[in-house]
Amino acid sequence: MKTPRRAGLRLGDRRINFRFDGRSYQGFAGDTAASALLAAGTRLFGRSVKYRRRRGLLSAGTEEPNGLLTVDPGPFCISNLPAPCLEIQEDMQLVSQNRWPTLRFDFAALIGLGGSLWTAGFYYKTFMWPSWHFYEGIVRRLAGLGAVASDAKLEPPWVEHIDCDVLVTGAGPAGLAAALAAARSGARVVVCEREPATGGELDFEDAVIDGHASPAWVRATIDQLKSHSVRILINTAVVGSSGKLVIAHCEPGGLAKDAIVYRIKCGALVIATGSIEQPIAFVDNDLPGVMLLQAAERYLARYGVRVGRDVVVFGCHDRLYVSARRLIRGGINVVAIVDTRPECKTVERTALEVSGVRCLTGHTVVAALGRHNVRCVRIAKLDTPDATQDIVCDSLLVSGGWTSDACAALHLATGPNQGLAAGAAEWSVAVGAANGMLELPAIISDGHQAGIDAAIRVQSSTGHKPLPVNPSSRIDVVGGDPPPRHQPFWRSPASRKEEKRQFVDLQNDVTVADLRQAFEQGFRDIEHVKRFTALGFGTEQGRTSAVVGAAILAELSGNDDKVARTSRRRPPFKPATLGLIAGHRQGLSLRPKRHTALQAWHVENGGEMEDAGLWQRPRYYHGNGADPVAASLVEAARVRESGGILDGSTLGKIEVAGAGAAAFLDRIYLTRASTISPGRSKYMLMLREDGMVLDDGIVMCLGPDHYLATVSTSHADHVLSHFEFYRDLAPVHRNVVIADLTEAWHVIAVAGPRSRDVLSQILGKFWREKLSGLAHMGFVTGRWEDQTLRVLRASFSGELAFELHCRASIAVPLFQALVNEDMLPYGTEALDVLRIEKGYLTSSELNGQTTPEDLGMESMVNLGNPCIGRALLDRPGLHRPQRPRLVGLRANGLGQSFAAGALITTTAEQNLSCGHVTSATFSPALGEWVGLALVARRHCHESTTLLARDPVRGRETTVRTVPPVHFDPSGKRMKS
Amino acid sequence: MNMGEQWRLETVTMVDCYEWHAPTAAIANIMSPGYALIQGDQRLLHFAPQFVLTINQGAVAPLVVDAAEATGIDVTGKWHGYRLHGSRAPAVLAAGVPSETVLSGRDCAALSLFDCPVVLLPTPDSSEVWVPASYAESLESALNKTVQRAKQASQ
Repeated sequence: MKTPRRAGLRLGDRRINFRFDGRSYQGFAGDTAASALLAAGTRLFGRSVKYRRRRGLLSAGTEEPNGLLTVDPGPFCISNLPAPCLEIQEDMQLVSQNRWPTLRFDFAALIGLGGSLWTAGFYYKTFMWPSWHFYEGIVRRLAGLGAVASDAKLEPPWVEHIDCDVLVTGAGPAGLAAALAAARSGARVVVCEREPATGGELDFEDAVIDGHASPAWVRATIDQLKSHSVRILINTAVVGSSGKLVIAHCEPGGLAKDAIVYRIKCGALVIATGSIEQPIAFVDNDLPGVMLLQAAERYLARYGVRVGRDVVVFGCHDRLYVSARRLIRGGINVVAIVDTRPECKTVERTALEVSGVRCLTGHTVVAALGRHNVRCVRIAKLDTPDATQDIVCDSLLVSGGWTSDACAALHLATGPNQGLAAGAAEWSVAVGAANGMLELPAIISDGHQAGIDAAIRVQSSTGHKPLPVNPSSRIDVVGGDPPPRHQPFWRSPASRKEEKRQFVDLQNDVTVADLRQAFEQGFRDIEHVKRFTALGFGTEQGRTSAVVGAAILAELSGNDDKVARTSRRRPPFKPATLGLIAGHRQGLSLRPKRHTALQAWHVENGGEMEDAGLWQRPRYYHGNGADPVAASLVEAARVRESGGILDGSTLGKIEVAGAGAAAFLDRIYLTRASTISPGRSKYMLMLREDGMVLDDGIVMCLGPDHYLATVSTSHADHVLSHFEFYRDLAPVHRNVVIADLTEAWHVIAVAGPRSRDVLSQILGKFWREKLSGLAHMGFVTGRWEDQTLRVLRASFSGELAFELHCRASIAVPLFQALVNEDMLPYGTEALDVLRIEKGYLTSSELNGQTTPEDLGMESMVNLGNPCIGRALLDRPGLHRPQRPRLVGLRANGLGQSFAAGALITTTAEQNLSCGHVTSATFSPALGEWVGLALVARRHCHESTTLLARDPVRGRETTVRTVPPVHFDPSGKRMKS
Repeated sequence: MNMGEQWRLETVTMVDCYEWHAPTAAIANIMSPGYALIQGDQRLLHFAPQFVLTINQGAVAPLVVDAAEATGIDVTGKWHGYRLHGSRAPAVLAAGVPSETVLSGRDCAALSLFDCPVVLLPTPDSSEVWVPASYAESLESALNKTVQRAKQASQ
């Protein structure tokens, strides 16, 4: 049914071509998908989620439950966009959702025939045999809204932080009045309006405001606001808040392209989001052609679209007549007005009756009739519901009253007939229609006063002196729609059978019968009802269903106050792409990456980089093998045979200095730092408060009360916090200075039999002498290339090895110089091979659940240093035979392999594991698989045969326990 | 990177850099948290309570921090400095951090900019961002991406 268009406030002259479900359409600049398609005679916009019933548009805003469209079908699609908010663009491709193969013929609509099987909570009880998982795939395929894009070409949104005194959400009459009052009071004001234009209902509500007709007042107010430097953000919806931080999304044209995310910190929030008209439940109230009354007015005033030729208006308040008069003026034939109230005597009604409109009070619409669209409506007197009569029409415009739209913005719950945003935070206030006001003078006055109050409150709290407010600065309003005199009416009488077709939540196919079923099965709390029935799920978040649903539940419970409330609304306020929520954290920018000064060198020389926390480290070098395993074996073997170098700059380095630094470290570490002489270092463990090992590392004594502690790459931030916490906790340590020097010092580990010779050759004469006399765990400081260089003799490979601590400026030349001497780099995979062969620990073993005793380091405990965590090591539970113990593992038989993560059992029959493999590798030095494991102490005796079971990879290997140090147990090579 | 007068990102050269820690909050009597001293290319930034960063410290900085009995550690190489010039610089900063709010009543502040820990120091003709060197590449990339978005947004 196509109706000629009239001029619309938001329409331009330019014609726009677009496609919907493959068909070509034309609209005008400024048209939304909803208005353009309505004007083209489209009534069918989608299918419902569960029963796949045909659905038309219900509303003209973000609350639209039915008309959700997908833009750009394919891998880059954007789904679930409400048609009333989606501005059409040239060549835009739109498709409907929840249908296959076409919208008109949907195969899954056959599901609706078996509707009795699909009642509320059906998935909890219908598909029990043989198991839910048997059906899950099909149900999940059929369920849900639009498809998820497999890719995205949307740029990350532009993010802007705004700081203001007063944020006003909504630029309707209340919002404009509030913003104006706050700005005049000297506050810094920002206004967010989700529509592309300001003014709200003043688009069609006749009034004289401050001597201006409504549209002129809107224009004048905007000018005044701009003169006060008020920022007015159109197309910008407040989608959520967190504390006093409000998140708003600006999507020009309703699309995430060129979107802006505003993070607005405000001193006061004035919520002027208006109200949402509520539907009434009657039989087949979901038929295309049933629409909210105010939506029809919006389409007419803003887009010049007549939603029907012959319409019936149905509701329970006086505004029906005012709206009907405007519709008639717009060229729509109002056949009848069905008013559920017993009587109504207004001038508008009389005038309409005189002009031939049937006005029926005490009546209700019991059903909408028609196969595909509304063809007529069946009405009945409320006191004799069985005596029905049919009225022929093509549209039914419904208005069951209004509810505040404020709750959605604040994720709050409220009850039916509660205009106020119950539980709103102290810093926010709902005004105007969002505050339950329904008359224009009251709305504007409320907004005006709230604006003044907000400005004063903010300025008082910040110590600024508010500008004097002129008490006579009120805004005069003459006219506007009359008081609605609303009498709540939520559903028409219906039989139990008919209740299955009285829809409460159109998006989720929740009917009155579903609510009754939930109630009869004992659900009382609305949050439980929501989860049982799906009432208020999805993009609509109950904005057109929650109040009706709560009212019907209240009726079923005999008006129990506890039942009569709505569920909590969830952000975002309107559908948002994941990209908008993620902001700049997308793709490679998901999180920052930390690089050492050698990053570029690694990449240029074939290093395959991997994440180590935020750090990037070379895993292996492509020149050494095609895959990580092959390359790592080559690299590890080369270190043992001649030597290799590793970029260890990511190692955490914490300098501790100042009076009492030694005593402080004694408190932190399990063994004493105060016994380390300057120029020496020590391998040390630190414990958590509960006695578990927190981290290990080498502590170097740089001088009296001056230390450098190296900590694991992944634990560096945590350990630094741990240090600072205990420094600040005890006043005795207050003179200790702690600084994170991780970036200040780069570390190059040089390992292998040739390491000393090569270093001597590169570094020069001074170093040659120093290195020849440098004992294991000693270090020496000097200069190279006019920069400070510190060389520590320590090994994480079991070979003769040195750590070169240097400034970033010489890291690359030094690394390159070593490479030039055929000390080739190895990656973290090879490092792992080398350290497992030597039984050294990493986070696989220091997993937060192991004590020093578990790791075979009870000798450190026995030294008796009363450090943090020491006392709790004496707990009896930590010494039971079930506690794990670090052991080495070897496969029983060459060629047999096992992997980290495998569970350890004593026999194949035993299902209870007695430990697990923490690390495993093929040892190029030993020619067989070796590993480390944490095994219950009673099974960890040497040469015990166990089973490493790896159900994930489907592998079982017989292993035997050995000492953890597989290679060079005497340490001869390391100390050579 | 140079985009004319609208945007320029410049690396700040640095000779030395020290982090100081004052043992007590009494340092606030000498300089409140957020205080910054700028003298030529020398910087003294009281970026967090009891924590001071001095860059290219001359004679003045040690005197000031010594007065607070603070102890310093040479962290040269840890921090990397950027200077943001141009009319787009404030918008680029505002895309990452509510700089106006954070810097309200302060000369400098330690904060997170595009998930990187930084010390932000507005100067009369630009803004300086001091970031741990390992994060510098990520921050520079985020700033450049943001300025590209700003460019698109303004077109």
